[in-house]
Amino acid sequence: MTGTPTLRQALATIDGVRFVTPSEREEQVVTVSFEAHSVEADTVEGSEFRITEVPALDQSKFTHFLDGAQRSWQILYHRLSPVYVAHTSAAVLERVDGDLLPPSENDYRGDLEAFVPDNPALADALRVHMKVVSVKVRDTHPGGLDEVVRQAISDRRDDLEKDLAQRFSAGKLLIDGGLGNALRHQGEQPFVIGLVKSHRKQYFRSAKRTDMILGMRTGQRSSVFVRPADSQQGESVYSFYLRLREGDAVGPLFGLVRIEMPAEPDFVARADEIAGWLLHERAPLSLPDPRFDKLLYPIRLVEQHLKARQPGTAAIMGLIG
Amino acid sequence: MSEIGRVIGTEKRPNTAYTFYFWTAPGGKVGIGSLVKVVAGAETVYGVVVEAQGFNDLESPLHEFLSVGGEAGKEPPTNRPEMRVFQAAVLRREPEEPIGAVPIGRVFLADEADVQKALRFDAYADEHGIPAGCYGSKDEPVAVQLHAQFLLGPESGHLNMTGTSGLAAKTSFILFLLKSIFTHAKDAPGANGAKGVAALLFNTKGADLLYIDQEPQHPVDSKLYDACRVPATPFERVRYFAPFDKDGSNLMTLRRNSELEAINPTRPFSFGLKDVIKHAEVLLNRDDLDAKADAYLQYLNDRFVEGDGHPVGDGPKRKATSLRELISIIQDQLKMAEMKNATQIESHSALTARKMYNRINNLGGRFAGVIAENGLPTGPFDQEFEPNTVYVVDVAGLDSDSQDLVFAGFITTLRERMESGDLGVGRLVVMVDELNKYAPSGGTETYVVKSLREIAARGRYLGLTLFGAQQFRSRVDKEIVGNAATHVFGHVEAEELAQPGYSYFTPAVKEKLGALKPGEVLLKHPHFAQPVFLNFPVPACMKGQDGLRRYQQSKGLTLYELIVNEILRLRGDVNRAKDVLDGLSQNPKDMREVLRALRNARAGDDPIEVLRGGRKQPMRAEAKAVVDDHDPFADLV
Repeated sequence: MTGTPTLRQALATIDGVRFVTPSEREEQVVTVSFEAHSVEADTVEGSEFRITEVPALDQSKFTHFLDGAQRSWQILYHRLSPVYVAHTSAAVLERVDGDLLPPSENDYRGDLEAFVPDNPALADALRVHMKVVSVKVRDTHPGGLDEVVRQAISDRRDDLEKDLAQRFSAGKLLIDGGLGNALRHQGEQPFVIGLVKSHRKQYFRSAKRTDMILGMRTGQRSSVFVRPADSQQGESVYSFYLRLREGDAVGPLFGLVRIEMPAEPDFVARADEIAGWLLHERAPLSLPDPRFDKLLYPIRLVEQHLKARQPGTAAIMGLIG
Repeated sequence: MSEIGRVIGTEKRPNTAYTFYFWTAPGGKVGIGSLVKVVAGAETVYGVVVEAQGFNDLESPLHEFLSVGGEAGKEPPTNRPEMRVFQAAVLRREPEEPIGAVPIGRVFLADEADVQKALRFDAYADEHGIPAGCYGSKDEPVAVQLHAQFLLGPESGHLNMTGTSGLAAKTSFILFLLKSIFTHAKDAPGANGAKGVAALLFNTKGADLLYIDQEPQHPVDSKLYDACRVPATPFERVRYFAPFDKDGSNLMTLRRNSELEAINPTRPFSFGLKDVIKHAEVLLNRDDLDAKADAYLQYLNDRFVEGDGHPVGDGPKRKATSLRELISIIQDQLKMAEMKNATQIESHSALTARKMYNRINNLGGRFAGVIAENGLPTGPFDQEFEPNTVYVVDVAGLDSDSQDLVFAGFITTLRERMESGDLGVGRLVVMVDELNKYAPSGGTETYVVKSLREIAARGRYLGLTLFGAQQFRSRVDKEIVGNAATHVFGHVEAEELAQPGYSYFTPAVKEKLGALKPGEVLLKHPHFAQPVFLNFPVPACMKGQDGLRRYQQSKGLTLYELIVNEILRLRGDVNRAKDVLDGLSQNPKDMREVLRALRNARAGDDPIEVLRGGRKQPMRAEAKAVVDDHDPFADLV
């Protein structure tokens, strides 16, 4: 029988290769904690930090939605180095008359790649069969190595998202996640808003402000403040907290999101309007997703679209052979 | 060719060799009964949609309720995506082998060429095709062809139709199909013997079949007729038959109208003495016809009816040609036995003879109009059947017992004619409605049931095709239904659909069957791997109700008027005929004989000659003056 050789056949001559039953790594679920890591952000709206009611709006002017997705499988070890196969993707879906349309070719990025920790011979052998990402390794501890590869996969997805975000031009885009890396470094900024569901950094050291934020009721937002630039989150942007929902017997972060906007005065003036749009986006609910308190429905649809285009475990097993 | 979706196969619901699933976007022109084509590389699979499902990403209705906070009028900015998944049953695949699971491929709506291939009539349409209706929308109908040899025989044959009465399905469909058969059926090349197709229909209710040679008064869907290449015209050759009314001279039919009679007269039919004896089982109560009675009846038949005659007692030979004469013979036998104080009549018990006398004596009254007074049968069997002719036997005015007699008589005669090969046509289609009455499932094996079974089992080899119809298929003899190769379903009631016989239909197909509109049927044919939904046009002939309005039934005429009408029909000289008629016996019995002879005359026959064959006026005795010499008042003088 002829045909494309499987990875098992292709790597048969390389010493130290041990295939394992592909074990899938779920996409990282949001960490819902207000981390100890904190800064003192500057308020740029009004003279003092405060919580305000968002005027109710009966429409949302967001026209496009962006999200990324990843699915990875550990497929083999080369000695102690784990090798992953991962499908990373990102897409922008446009909303027309309430329907989210499938993305055009330009609005979708996605690929199945092997992530190989520093190992040129193995990478070359794999490259004959599929795209390969060589992962720079600084830590040789087995547990750490695994983390490094997985981070590389996440970074790959971030890159795809960033690429699509920076190409966006016409309309009003809502991104799932921070905005810092999505902004263009030069030229006119398109209308792009980021919605951050996780709270890994505390932007106010003051207990009073923290209490004010955690005590917000549904439909309230905080003053706009500056989220400073950092290596992880990219450019400095304007931000505010918004309570999408609240409920009984739920944690203080339930329904609490942080919104990021380009650091331009105009966006400060439009904070109420943007918050109003986001509140309007609360229906339909994203149930049964456990993140339904913060996950807006159009973003969930983008996620569904991306997941639908991911290969299944059976396909990966076929690839391995 | 319009692409509508793709095949999907999941672990929970995989595609099989005979079933597959595909998705489409909402708004696609696909539904239950749609024919589709799957293309996957070199493989093509044709299927018919049998189930439909639609869903969005909602896991629980509660989620939607919570989404809008219970406000029905709230319009969320993003619509939940909706998709439709259809289940289809495989009709055909190319290549035919190997029969593997349906491949994951692109799905298209079937066009005309696809429909022909899917239903396999591309192979026989030209030579053996009989259009039975159209697939698709009424704007772009595609004629669907049945295989003549599988509809009429001899390969397989017979058609069975189920449908709720009054919803324009059974009669309308069969009339359209007959018209199509008359238009398209061809004799097999080199066929020997009689050729062509004729049809015999029983009009059991109202006036449904009494005006099928008249122009319709309703709009006719010419597109469907054109697609089927069937002329949208009434039947050209129809012969109507009806029993006599109680008066024995007028006919018991709603067609009794002078205008209509002038266009196409109704001919009488009646059963002769031999038929009465033959169908005694139908005519007499089953309990009456025990072994002794049956033996006595056979004795009467052998000696007095079929034979050369037989003496009663020491008298001369007697022969019975009519029921009245037979009754007279029995009566005389009984008198003779009484006189001799005998308990036996030629080895038959006098008591049995007495019982049969009582039973037979009232037949004339019970079946008046159906049993010929003179003992001679008349009706469609008088002549050979002619091709492309519909013979309508109107039994709507008869009571249930008389209808049974008519069916038994006709079906039995048809079977005999079929066996002796002298039907006169290559194929005779006989339509029997209300099969659940005449051939009920689990009922007693009556004479009619036996005859129908015989026709269903062997008729296709001998030129007789049964088009049976009923409201409740589940209540019809299984052998008769099972022998039909083509099955048609109109609107069927839910309780009938709940019967086990319908279990091979999917719930969606059953739902559709329960909601079929007039002019829609589901058709199953040996060449179709799955049943298909079709449209058929309203027959292009006058409906019963329109006919009743247009040709109102007239009152019965006198014997004299009926005879004059027949002379007019035969284009005879009425004045001369009247002169001859006046010279004939005016006894009603004799007049009825004259009328019968005229009714049996064909166009071109000389009615005067027919009249002259009637019984002459008896010679009158010379009038004499009676002089009585006795004077009753003489004593008073």
